[in-house]
Amino acid sequence: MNVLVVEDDEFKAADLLKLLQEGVTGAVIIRAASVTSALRAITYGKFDLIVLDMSLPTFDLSGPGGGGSPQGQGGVEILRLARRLEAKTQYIVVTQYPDVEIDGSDVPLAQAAKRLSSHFGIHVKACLPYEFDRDDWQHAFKRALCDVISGRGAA
Amino acid sequence: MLQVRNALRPFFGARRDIRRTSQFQTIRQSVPLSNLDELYSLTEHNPAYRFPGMGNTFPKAAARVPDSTLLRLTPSSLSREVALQVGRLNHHGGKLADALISLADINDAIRSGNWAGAESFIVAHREKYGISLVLLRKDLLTSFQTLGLSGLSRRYRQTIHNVERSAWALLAHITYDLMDPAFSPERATRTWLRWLESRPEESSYYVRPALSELLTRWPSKSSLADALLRYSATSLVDLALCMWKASAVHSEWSELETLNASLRPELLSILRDRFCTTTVSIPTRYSLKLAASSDLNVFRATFFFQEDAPIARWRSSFMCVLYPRSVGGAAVGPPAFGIPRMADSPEAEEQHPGPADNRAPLEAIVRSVLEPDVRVTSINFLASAVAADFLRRFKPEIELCPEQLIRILTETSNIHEYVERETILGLLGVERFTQSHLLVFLLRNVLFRKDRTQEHELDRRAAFMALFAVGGRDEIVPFLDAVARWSPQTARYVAQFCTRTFLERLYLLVESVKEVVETRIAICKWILANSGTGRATISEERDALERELANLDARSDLDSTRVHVDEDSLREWYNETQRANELRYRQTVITEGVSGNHGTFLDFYNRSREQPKVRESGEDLFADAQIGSEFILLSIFEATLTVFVTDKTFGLDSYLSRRIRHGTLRGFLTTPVARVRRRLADDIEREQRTAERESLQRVAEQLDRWFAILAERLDYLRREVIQIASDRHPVGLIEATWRTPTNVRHLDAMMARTRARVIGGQGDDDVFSDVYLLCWDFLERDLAQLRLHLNREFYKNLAAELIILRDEMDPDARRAGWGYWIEIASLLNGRVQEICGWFIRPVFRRNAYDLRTLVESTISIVRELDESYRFEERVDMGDSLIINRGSFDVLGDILFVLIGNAAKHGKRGGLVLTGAEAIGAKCELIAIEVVSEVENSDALLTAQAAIRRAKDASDLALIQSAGVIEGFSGIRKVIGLLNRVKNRSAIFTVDFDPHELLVRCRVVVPSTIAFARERT
Repeated sequence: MNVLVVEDDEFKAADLLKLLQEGVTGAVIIRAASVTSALRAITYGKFDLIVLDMSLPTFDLSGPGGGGSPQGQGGVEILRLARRLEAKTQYIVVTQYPDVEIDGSDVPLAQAAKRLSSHFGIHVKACLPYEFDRDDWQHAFKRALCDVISGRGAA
Repeated sequence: MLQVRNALRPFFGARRDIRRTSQFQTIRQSVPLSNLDELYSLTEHNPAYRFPGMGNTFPKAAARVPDSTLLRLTPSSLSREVALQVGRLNHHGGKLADALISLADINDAIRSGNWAGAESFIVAHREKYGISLVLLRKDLLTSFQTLGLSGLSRRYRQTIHNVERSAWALLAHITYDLMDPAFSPERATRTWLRWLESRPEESSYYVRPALSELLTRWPSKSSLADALLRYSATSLVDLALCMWKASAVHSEWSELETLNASLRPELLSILRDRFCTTTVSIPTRYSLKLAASSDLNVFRATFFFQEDAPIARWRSSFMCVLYPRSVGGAAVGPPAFGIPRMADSPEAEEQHPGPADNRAPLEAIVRSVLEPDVRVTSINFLASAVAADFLRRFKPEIELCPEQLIRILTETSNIHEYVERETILGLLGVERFTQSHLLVFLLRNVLFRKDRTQEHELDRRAAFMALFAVGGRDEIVPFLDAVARWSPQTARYVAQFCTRTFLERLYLLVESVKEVVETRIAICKWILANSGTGRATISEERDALERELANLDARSDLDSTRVHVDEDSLREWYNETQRANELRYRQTVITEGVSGNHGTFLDFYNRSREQPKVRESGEDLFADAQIGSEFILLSIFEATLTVFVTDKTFGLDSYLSRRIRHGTLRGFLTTPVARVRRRLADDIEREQRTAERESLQRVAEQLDRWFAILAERLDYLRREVIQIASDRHPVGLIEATWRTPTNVRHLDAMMARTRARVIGGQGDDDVFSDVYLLCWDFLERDLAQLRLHLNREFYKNLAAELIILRDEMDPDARRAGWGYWIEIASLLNGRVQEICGWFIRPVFRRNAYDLRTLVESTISIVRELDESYRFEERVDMGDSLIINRGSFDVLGDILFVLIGNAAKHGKRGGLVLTGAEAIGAKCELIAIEVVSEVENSDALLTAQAAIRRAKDASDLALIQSAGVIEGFSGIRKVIGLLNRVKNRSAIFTVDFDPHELLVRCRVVVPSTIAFARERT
């Protein structure tokens, strides 16, 4: 199973990678830390699952000159491109925002997965609120991951 | 005729107005056309009737123009309607002929620039022949030329006095809008067309004349018949001229031949002799440098001279391309006059200077229509409209190569305003066009500019990236060179798009900020070498980018976290949405002129809010202010400020999302605390002695409690406080409002400055920079509030909680946890200070900065950060000390340290003196001195020891990290900064005066530093 983790925050990325390694046997996990590297990755690679943050820098922070303009809805930009690529990738959004902006209106995270799926015509499994000092999100993430794996198995 | 007589019988001697509709309708339908003379001798100007005739004649009462009592009349067929109305015109032929001659005399006076004569002719005409729409146009035009904008406004208000809610007032309003120098006539027309076309059918009595005036064309015969009927209820002069225009514009309609055949010869002769002029007169009031004889003003002038047949034809032709739907869409067919048909077939392409012509073909076409009658300096607007019309009519079988289409698109910067989405999508479906990536990009760009959606933006970028190989950012400039060889204008057009923001989003071409900056520098250089306009701005940008590139590897942590709004994106938004308003503003300023002591905007604003009676009693103030330049600038500014703050892609909200609501703020504060907590856990683990371990465990418990409080307060801070104030975030501290006394003063000053520059530069100046800087000025107060909140609420409460939790512990635990507590308190202080630094307005990309401003702003920030700040401040330096961006960065940080320390350790109520001087023949060096008093000798000795320790420190790593560890007040940070300046003259010395108890810190740095600092 090919997984792309799009996350710029080291702590959060470490948490996500740990959960993915525990949850998916034999997963090939690639990490992108900016909108640009994520867009490049999905243009050239095929992924079964993309774990996505919403707020991202334009470029990798480690690159010369830093991250460039911050993109508050950089994750949405990635989903927008994903729609055009018509891949069968599934998405789990993990963000620290309480909502996701879709076409100018803020959609609460609880409804965001459904709205993003219908808006972009893709499979967004879940939109989860990340909290580094609490574990609640981890349970929800594991459940979503199980759904992705079982769905993939069924397919 | 007996039937007619009977139908009119109820009106004989009637004392009240009886509804005439059914009687008139019967007469109009039943009377034989051969009996029209008899009919009108019976109905027109008959003193036995309470009406002037079968319509209006030479009306005096504005409330009855057009006559609403006739609104239910329905038009006959065009041939019958023409016959009916020609009969009426003939009946009043004598007086009408005089009225038309009088009107022609007015036109002649205007064209010859005899405005005073025109004014007196208008008064005389009104006295004798009443009011009409055509006279209204001349009247307003003359008032504008002779008395300026305020005169126009006053005349308009006089015209509609007591009839404000009548059809006449509405028609006058339309005329006014077309006249207003501050309003684009094209936009005014578009806006009014939209409004008029949404009116219900029963409004036809005023809608039809209004549409006729605006379009100078009729989409169908029935609409012209309706127009004739409605004009007959307006005035005979308007009716005669409507028929005359219609016969010129729609000569293919045989029904209009009646005019030539049946109209009284003297009337026909006057129309042919006096209303066939091709000259339009543009009042000099419009002729600013930026728009002298622009095609837009020519277009405007045609509205005022549309009664002349050639002008009516010319105007009507352009209406077909500008508002095809309003004039009947495709059914109308190609414009009959004026504009050469463009490439309907390959043969036609050969006959006309079509798009294949390399020498700006569209310009040639538009000029061929306008000149030699009209000389125009710019043809942007009409060329866009012509090009849009051409694209609308395009068929795939027409031989047109992609390069030709590319030239059409790049020569017409506003084509997106006139071309329909479906047209562009159709072109994108033509196979030979899709083979040109450049053309696809340009077509996608038109789609994006039409509605600016993110979807279209991605399409546009994807099309642009397809022009190059992956990672091929170096190919952009060679590509521009290659395009420039066959179309320099196209190359310049494409180069304009490659802004920094646009380049940043080209994910397949660029991979880092460095690549973006390098590419943009190359493009700036290309533009400078290939373009004659906007050189100063591009040159400034190139310099700024080169400085940025030199410092790219040395960006400090502060630079990457400081509050940020993307200026390039904001400028792009501004160009798309506010340029028209800006033009309007500049035109208004020029029209208002230098004179006029209206007082400040603040005075006016306060007066208009507090004393509404002024509005009623004042003659000019209210009307003038509503159209005055201040209000236009204010509306531009308000719109820009809103986007500046709230835009989620490039505005302040985007920064807040990234830095604040996202994990950065939280991580920045909690990570070091968590590390201390982990170290404590390790210490507990290692501790062998039970009692000590238990003490440390109690410390850990208290620390966890404090950590929970920290997390909770942080959540509140980022979710509620560091937010844009709104109903959703009532305690959000970012208000970004101009409605505070200080900000209104800022606004006032900016308005005066901008106005003076626009007048000085004859309207050439760019207003965006002023607006952008003002946005930051207004944010200043909010940023200060944020810093105060962080320092005096957030930090203070958390520090107090820390002390409470420490005091709750037993003495053993307190002793065991002492070191951790000190470390956390220090960490908290340092980190909060750093976060305060995020909310300091960034410096702008300028070559030179005023040192005094830097010192004063630093003092004000230090003052905010120190709650017990009480000092006598003195700044002893001239206004002429100028430093460059690098020195500005370095001195900014150094001043924070020195003035911050002076405030932290100085004597309350004592003196803080900041002085500066230039050293060297060419002011190569700047010396800054900060002198502060201390309380007593002990304090002086303590300071002396601390400074010596800092200066003597040999650990380079410690010095380099001082900026982060020590926050703003670390002396080591000064030393570290000076080390990195890499200039032998850069020194830092401290003297101590034990008698006066003074600490005298002196720093010397070059006034121009190319390399500022390294990553800490």
